Amino acid sequence: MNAHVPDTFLTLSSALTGFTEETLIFAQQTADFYAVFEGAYGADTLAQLMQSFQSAVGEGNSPQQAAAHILDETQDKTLAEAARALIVFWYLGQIKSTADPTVLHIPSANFFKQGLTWRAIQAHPPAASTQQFGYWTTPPAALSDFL
Amino acid sequence: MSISRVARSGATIGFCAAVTLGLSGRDGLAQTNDVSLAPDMPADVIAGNPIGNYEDYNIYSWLSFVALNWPVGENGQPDVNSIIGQNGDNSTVWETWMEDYQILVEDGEVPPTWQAPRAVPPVCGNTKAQSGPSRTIRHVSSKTGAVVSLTNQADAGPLIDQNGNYVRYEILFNEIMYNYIVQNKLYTLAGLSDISEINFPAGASPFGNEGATEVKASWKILGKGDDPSRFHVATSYVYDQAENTCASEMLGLVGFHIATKTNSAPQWIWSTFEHIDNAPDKGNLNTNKHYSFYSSGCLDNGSTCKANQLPEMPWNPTQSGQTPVQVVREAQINGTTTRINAHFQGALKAVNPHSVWGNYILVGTQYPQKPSDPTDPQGRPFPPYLANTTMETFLQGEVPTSSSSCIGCHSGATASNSGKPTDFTFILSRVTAKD
Ligand code: HEC
Repeated sequence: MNAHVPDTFLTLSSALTGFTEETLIFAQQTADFYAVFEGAYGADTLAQLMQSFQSAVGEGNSPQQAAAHILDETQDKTLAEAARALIVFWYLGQIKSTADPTVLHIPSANFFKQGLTWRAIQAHPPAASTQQFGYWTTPPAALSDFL
Repeated sequence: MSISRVARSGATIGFCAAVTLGLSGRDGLAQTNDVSLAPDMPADVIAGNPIGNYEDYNIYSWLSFVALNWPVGENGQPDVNSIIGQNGDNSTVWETWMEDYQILVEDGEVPPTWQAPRAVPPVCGNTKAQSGPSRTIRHVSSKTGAVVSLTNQADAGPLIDQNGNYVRYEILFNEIMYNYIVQNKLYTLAGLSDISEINFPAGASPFGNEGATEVKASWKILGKGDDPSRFHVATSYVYDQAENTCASEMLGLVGFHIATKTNSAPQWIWSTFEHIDNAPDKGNLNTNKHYSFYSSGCLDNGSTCKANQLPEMPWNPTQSGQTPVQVVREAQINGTTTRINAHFQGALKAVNPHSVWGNYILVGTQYPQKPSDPTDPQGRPFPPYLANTTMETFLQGEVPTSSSSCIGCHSGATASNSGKPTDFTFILSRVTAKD
């Protein structure tokens, strides 16, 4: 599954979002965050993001430190902006449209459903619950289970 | 190889009729002896990594399909001295199982004993059978309303084939499920209220040797343009409860769902098979092949034949010559599945080139990737969407909550008199007997 998604995209995304790679893999199964991001920001930008992450890790930084390095605008503003856009995309399912870059859009209902925001608040997207009848009588799972 | 098998009591696994498959490719599967045509149900898939291996689940599905369609011998047991399809077609193990309507009894009645002969509705008694119908296709629907009927799909409407005939649906379950339902009196509203949690056996239990298994089959009436030698065929009474009509028809199996509860899959494993003549893939419509549910001519004459649209109302299965539904398969079958299909079809055709069973393909297997995820009681199903063109015709696609997910929809099944989950089966959503 998702043979086309490079591992580095997942480790980078995990470091940027704070969610586990497993959660991202599940999301990626219905919403192709990788391909859509590549379409909107270009293969070059994406390759640069992954490369800069990988080399920072290669120099002995933790994934979190490597992510912080990419997000540092004083280093490379374009790259930092792309990294921020990737975070927004994972959390909200929202990305700039290729037709009109000034407009943010949600590519499909699956991106809405898989947005990490819902998990961050230990909830589920409106109208797309996987819970069973009566779930509201029990407390939600721990935050750590949602990550 | 990470599929375990269950031994039927009194039968050994290493029977001589096994046909060995030459599956090559991934490591584990090179041990060919495990992937053979056999009458034993596979017991479970041992998940190889956190999210499981799709190939193993698809092999599990095929092993189940072969075991359930094995020639039936005494008492509904597989006949271990014959091989599936050796004479082209054969009557099968699952067709001797209990039908849903047999346990959906009236007030005060008890379900028949396991393997008791099925009662034929009186109106069918007047029908001349071609060769002794093997059973009656019918559903009980009139009392609880819209959940199910003889011809309506779940949450949708009927499928009409190219000859203008309605597809019929049938639901059956194994002895383990039967024992669990009967011993807990789940065929009554009182029984459904009394039980604290409905939890069907997932493996060997006091109710029997295997896990609970249920099937849903779709049948088309074989008629003009259909070649009966390509189908698994059953001569059946087709009974329409609302109209109180009955006809003896030759039916061809066009779709087959299997759901089995296992220890690794408390959300059950969901397999779905189809006949290869059902409908073309969306991306491959320029075809002159004869399909049961698709006409290329329909496209040529520029008429309105939008794919996968519910037929016009009113729906009446007893009326013939209605406008067919134009069906296409929205999602191409995954490459892993296609490869496994080719292997099993090859093995079935090696037994007999005219084996009808070689004309069926697995569309996919939905299983929980993370069965005990506290954030998702559905266990993160993979693939997220799965549909059979004859059973979820109108729910194909990839739209959250409305497109077909077997686990997604079945996890919402509740007892007919409360919100109590029925452990993924809709059979208990249609119980009406008080006690
Ligand atoms: C939209 C909801 C829905 C979806 C999606 C769905 N089913 Fe069902 N299924 C039902 C309902 C409702 C029934 C009860 C009988 C009927 O309506 O035909 C049923 C019946 C069955 C049965 C017979 C046992 C029972 O629970 O009654 C099996 C087996 C089955 N479905 C398998 C599958 C498989 C496999 C898939 C996925 C490929 C699937 N279903 C997708 C709603 C659904």
